[in-house]
Amino acid sequence: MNSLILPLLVPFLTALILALLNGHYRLERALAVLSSLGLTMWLVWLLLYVDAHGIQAVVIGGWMAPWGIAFVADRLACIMLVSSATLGTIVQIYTWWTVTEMQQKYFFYPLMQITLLGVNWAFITGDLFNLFVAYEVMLLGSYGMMMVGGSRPQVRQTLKYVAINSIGSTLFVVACGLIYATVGTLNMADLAVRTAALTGERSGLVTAASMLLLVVFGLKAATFPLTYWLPDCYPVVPAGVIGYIAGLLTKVGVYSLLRTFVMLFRQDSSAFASDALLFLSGFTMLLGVLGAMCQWETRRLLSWHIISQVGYMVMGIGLAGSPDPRVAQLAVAGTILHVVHNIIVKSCLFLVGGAGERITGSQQLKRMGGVLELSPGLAGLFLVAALSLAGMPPFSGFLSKFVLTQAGLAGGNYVVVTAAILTGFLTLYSMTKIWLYTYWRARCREHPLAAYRPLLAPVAVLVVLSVLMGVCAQPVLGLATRAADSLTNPAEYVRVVLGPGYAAPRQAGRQPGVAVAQAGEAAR
Amino acid sequence: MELPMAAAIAVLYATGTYMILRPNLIRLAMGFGLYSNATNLLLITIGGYTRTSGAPFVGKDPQSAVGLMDPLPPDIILTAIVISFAVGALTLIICYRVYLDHGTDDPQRLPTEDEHDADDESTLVDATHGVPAMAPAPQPWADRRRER
Repeated sequence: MNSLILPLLVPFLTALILALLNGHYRLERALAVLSSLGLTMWLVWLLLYVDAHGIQAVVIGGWMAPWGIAFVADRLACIMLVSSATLGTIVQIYTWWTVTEMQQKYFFYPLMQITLLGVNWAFITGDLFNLFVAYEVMLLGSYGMMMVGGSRPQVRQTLKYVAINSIGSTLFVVACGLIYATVGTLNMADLAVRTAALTGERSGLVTAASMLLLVVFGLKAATFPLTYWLPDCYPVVPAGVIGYIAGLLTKVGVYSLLRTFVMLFRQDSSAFASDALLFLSGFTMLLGVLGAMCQWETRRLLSWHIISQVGYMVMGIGLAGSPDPRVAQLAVAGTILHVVHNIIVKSCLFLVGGAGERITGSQQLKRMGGVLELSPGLAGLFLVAALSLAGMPPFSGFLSKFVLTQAGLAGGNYVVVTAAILTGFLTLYSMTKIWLYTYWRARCREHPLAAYRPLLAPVAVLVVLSVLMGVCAQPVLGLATRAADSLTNPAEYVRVVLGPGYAAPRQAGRQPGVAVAQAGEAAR
Repeated sequence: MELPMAAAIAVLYATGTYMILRPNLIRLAMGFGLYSNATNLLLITIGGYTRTSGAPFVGKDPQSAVGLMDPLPPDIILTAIVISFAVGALTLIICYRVYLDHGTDDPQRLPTEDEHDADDESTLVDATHGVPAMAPAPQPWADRRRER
């Protein structure tokens, strides 16, 4: 299926064309939205196709799979691609009204498309080192988007973001090297087969390398000890784009954790990784929500909430290490649902915050107020998104948290489930804080009332998506369960990527380079 | 060949870590350069580099894999070099911009609060756009709204 390269090709070509069109501001905006919209529709078709006909794969350059780079569209990848492309389209429509000509002159839309390219690439690749390249493309795009406009806090915080991600990239390459040296392959399907057969010393080595990857992806996803860059960096991102960056970039880290720790690292000693993930997730949730409670600036508060929500997803990935396959499947399905729910709702809250900022001229909770009487529509949208984030029943957040809690209770992990429920209550508290200060109370000062009405349309689309996800729980849960099934039991993935005739080599079958060279020296 | 390589890698990582932890932005950028070089050496070692090993398919018995380097790690290194070059250039530019903005290359002396945080309304500046938040946005729909 050669068209699997489209999610990369379309944003790439659009970025090139947009860069050449610099100066035609309206044309540029229209073209960016059109290209993303087209890609989204194609990806929805791909999701339906993959769900009906099974996993699709293509090897780039015609090299056979364990050697060549494979692009694989399984259900999880398709779900993530659709979420990312939908969000990208909606945010680009939103930025139609928030982006300034100065920002467009400095290649705002080409950078956005490059970030989209990197994100799509990370979702569709079937090779660990290729995932690293995708990450770098995504990060370079996001560095650019963060700095567009070039105000002092932006440049200062971007330096922090670049620095911490450079360390992450170094560790990523080291981990790739160590895994290649131990297992002898970087192809994900091949890795899944080989690690499952590993025991003893080599299994421990792979677990050590996987811990490096845990640091790398944990850094991107902002899990517990590696969170502190996020609440500093995200508030400086230009309005509108923050919806995309905050909604999606951490979720790429979560997706990679899901892909690697559930599907790839299934060696003997992988229980250590699940315990580590569960331990980290509890702290991530509580730290995130406690950090959010003491903030008085909308964007900073919501940034801390990203961290606490990532905690839920990491909890699901940790629960997936359970020996009971039904618990594992439930946990992975809950994680996938929570990732999608969070992509929608979190960016929705940031976009609502952006509209509120235009009305009140401030991000400080204490200086906002009276938005309910000025714009009941915006207040309603915020209320739905906030209740959904906190996990109130009819909306998407309830569904994902319910599934995750159920998996946790079935697996007997009561401590982390208690932390999750406590986090839900505290989330409700800080959402109430925003509601009380920004929306419910009377106006505390004159507001500039910059035009905000067009901004409501893209936000409303996101809110409708969240409600639909909650109301149509059964088909959504079914899709997530099928995606989880092909992740916890990667037989189909392996068969599609490596071909039906592929037999797993025994542990000593293909020695990695070091061993080959040593054997050569010994022979001499 | 592994012991000297491991020693070199260890020295490079240690030096890189030291430089990154120094309160100096240029040292930060250089530290990342050392990190990426150490990583590349690590990959060469993984590929089975010995004093006698050679490139694949060159001057050896074409039927035998003995004494050849694994070709995949050098391939990874090439990609990693290109990427670290790009990111390194970007890091240097950002370091220079921070120096121009704040007149210091000591990260500990950079302001921790954004300028708009503490200010009152008269100087309220939108941190993200660098323009006053009150200014009318030059947008087509804004014009229509004024007509109405």
